[in-house]
Amino acid sequence: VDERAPCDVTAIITAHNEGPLIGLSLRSLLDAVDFARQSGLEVEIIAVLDNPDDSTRVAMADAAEHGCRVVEVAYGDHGLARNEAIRLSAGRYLAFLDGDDLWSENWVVDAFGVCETDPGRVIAHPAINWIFDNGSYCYFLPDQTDPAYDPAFLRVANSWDQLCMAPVEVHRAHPYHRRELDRGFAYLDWTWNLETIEAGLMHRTVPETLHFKRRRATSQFTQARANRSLPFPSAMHDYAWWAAHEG
Amino acid sequence: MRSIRRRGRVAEKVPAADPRVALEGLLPEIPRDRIGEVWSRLRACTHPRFYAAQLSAEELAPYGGRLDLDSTVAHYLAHGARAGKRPSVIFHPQTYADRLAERGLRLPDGAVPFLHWLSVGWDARIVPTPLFDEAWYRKKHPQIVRAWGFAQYVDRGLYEPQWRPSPLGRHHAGMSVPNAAQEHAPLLLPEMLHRAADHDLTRTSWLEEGCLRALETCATLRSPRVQDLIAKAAAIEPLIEEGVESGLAVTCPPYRAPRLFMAEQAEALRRRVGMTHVDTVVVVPDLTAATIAGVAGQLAAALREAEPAASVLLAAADTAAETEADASRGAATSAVPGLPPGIDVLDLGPFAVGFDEERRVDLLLDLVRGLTARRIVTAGSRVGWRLLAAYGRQLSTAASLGACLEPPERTEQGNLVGFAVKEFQEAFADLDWALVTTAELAADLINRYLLSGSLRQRLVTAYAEDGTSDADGSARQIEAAAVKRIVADGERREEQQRG
Repeated sequence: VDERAPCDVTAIITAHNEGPLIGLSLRSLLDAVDFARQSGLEVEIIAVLDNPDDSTRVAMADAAEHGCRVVEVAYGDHGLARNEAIRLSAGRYLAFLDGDDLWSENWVVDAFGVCETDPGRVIAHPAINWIFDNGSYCYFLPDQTDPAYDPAFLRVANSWDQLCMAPVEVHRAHPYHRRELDRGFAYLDWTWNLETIEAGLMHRTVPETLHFKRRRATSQFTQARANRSLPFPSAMHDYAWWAAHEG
Repeated sequence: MRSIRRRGRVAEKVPAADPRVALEGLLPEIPRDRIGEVWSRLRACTHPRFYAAQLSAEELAPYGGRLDLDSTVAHYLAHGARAGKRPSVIFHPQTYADRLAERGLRLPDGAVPFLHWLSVGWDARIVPTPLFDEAWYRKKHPQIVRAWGFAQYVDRGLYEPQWRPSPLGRHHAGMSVPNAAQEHAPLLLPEMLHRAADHDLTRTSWLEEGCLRALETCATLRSPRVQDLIAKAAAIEPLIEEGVESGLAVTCPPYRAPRLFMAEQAEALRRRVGMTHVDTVVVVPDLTAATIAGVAGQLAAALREAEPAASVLLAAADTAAETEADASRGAATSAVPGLPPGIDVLDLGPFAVGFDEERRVDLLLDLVRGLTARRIVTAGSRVGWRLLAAYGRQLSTAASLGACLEPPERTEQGNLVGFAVKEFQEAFADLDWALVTTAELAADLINRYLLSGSLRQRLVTAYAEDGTSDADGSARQIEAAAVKRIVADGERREEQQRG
């Protein structure tokens, strides 16, 4: 049993083979955590390194000096590594950051504010995903409360990635799947979004917040796409679900 | 008598008088020597199908329901201009008014906005639409030599898929359409006419409204707070701002996103289908009499007979439709001659207007998953084969997959056509059975692929003997034994899954 004192937010960084780039991500995470602490939030920091290569392990060697608890696991699976982070967390809300991405400084505090508008029911996403490196573009994430947003969109395309802030009980009730690329099922974030919407949770965006996401040729998304993967089957793929929820 | 005269007047074709004279009348302030120039612009910017969508069936009747460029221009100048109709997809009246105002200008009283733009706004290089961004276009297409990129877009960009008019995207699926330029049919037309009944097309459209909302959302990027946050992040990782100067593409659901239109159509299809479950979906290329009479129709009928309580849907996946207005014929019905009662049919064509093949496959995928079909069969459909090749692995976890294989035939040009060889090779591992129409084809597959015993068992021969008809001249019918095998295989598989 983890006896650490509960806190408001657990900031989680996950990594595998990012090497020194994880330092940039940790720098950005620490800035956002400092900003949140200045606003009175209690925040813990966990880094989960899943089968890390040497350069990533070396890059994180001094992370504890920055108040970051570093945990190594050997799942070789993004979803399972996240589930381990969830298990270790003491925060009421969990915020994930990939080991080569960055948060805007206001992310933790502003996302916490949006989550607290309806505690336990809201999953917060940044307003903007700023994709950089190997081509730039901006993705403005939709807010589920926008009347123009139709969740049916999720049947054919994803709306939100995993770098959200969500209540810990939501994560525990909806753990991530293990990727099954050989069976053609991947897109853990898309699957998680389907499951959480089915469960009645609300995906909201946090105004004037950004995630800076590095585009990598070997990203999980790229692999899944090349593999013609689909999200795991979900009730929302079934017309009967829509008939039952019509109107 | 009066009503007959009135109807007759509305239904008249525009008189054959020179439409240029009408144009002169509508632009009294323009010097006569400039009319030719405005006339050329008017023709370049006129899009008959978009204009026709604003007319009633009665108004279109004298033209056989279809306008060409000449008749559109003539009709617009005779009637449409004063009635506030829009002949062009690249003219959005409110955007024009706003952009005039930005320059301290306004429309003169009584002016027809579109004609004002052609004669005044064009010279001032005012872009009168939210669909196009001049700075973006020039950055992305530096090869354009014309001084005004928008003029190039009007002439070519609207009709060729490689031109990206805006950070918000192409506004179409990226597929080229034969004769689009000759017919003045912009590639973005399907999205422009989407949900036409919900919009006053003389003012705006689904596509334009989406772009306007997306542009509003994008404006938050310019807020001082967001700019400060970007600068702080870039101070940590300078690559964040690299490449921004060449233009930042934007995706902005639910207003503008590459698969937004497709998602809309998938949902429209679901609503139109009106069913929540079908036991067997047979994917066919079309619903022609030949398809119905062929192996696909026969298989559907035989399955229905073998399993009277189980539902069967024939889904036509390769058909083309010009507009989604045809979607009413996409309704699941059993009104196709030649099919026994109880078999529903569905035409996906009207829901796939402007779709490339990938989107067609995804539309079909959404349908078969939505209907939780326990048996999915492709019979001569290119899209059906692509579905099984791309997603057979995943679909086979919840459904029995089958295919009808007919022998390849050589065309007069010497090309070999028949079932999709590449897709067959990609999908065969996930098929529970393949219905082959001749014993020769089965033997050929066994011989060439050196099919093992268990793979050989997946080949089910449909007919007892070759030939197009039985000895008495009646069309040959699928062997009952073949259908029994398919049904039995399905039952065995379901039992295994339950176990």
